[in-house]
Amino acid sequence: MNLEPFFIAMAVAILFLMLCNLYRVVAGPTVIDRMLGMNVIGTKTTVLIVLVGIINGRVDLFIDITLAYALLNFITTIAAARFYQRLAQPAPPEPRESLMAPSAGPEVTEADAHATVSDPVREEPP
Amino acid sequence: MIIDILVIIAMLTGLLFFVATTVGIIRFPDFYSRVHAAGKGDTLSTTLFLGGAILFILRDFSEETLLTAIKLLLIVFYIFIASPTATHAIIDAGYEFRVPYWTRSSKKKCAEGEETTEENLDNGFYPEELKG
Repeated sequence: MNLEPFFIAMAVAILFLMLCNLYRVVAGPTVIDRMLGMNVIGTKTTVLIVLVGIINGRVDLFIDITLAYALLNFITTIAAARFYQRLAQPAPPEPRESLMAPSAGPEVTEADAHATVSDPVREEPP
Repeated sequence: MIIDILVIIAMLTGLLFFVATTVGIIRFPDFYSRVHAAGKGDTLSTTLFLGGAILFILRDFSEETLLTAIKLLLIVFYIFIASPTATHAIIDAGYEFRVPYWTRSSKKKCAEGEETTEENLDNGFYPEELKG
């Protein structure tokens, strides 16, 4: 049985449904909706590449492209999701350089500074 | 011959799941239900499509096609793990962003003829950065 017309029909159907998903990417009310639509489209692109390889008769060539695309799609989705998750969280307190620097030494607290001023004996040489 | 029929059945089932995913993504009213449609149907339809491709490649069996089929099987395994993980990351970001969810009150507003804008989904706040 010659299955090539069937595979071409499958590829065209997947392409059409990906275009339908593109509506959600364009019209989605939030950024997260757009990310969801692009994730679905990217997952289906791997299937599309495999089908193109079967139609061309060179699956062993296209399979590596598919693998790379699947990895790339996953990484981009995770990166965008983490970015918007961080954006939603409250900002961390401002870092003080005197506390962060490795050469800062032991921290001088308020009480210590006060004691140094009120007790000048400690500053005098013996 | 039997393998060809199995390939056709697997791919048509995958196409059915992908149609369901697309209809869910387009028609569902809010973000969370869209994730529900996209996360499951996408994974299963991809698995079925690639499974059909594996069966078709293994039809003329040799050492080379076996290697290609094993690579495809690894891709199926990877997608079966990575796609739910990506969906989880997306819905976690949306939950932290407090994307408004759909309730009966917003449906009633739609029935009364008010325009369905983002302000009519009046649950939680709607962050300024998310618009547009």
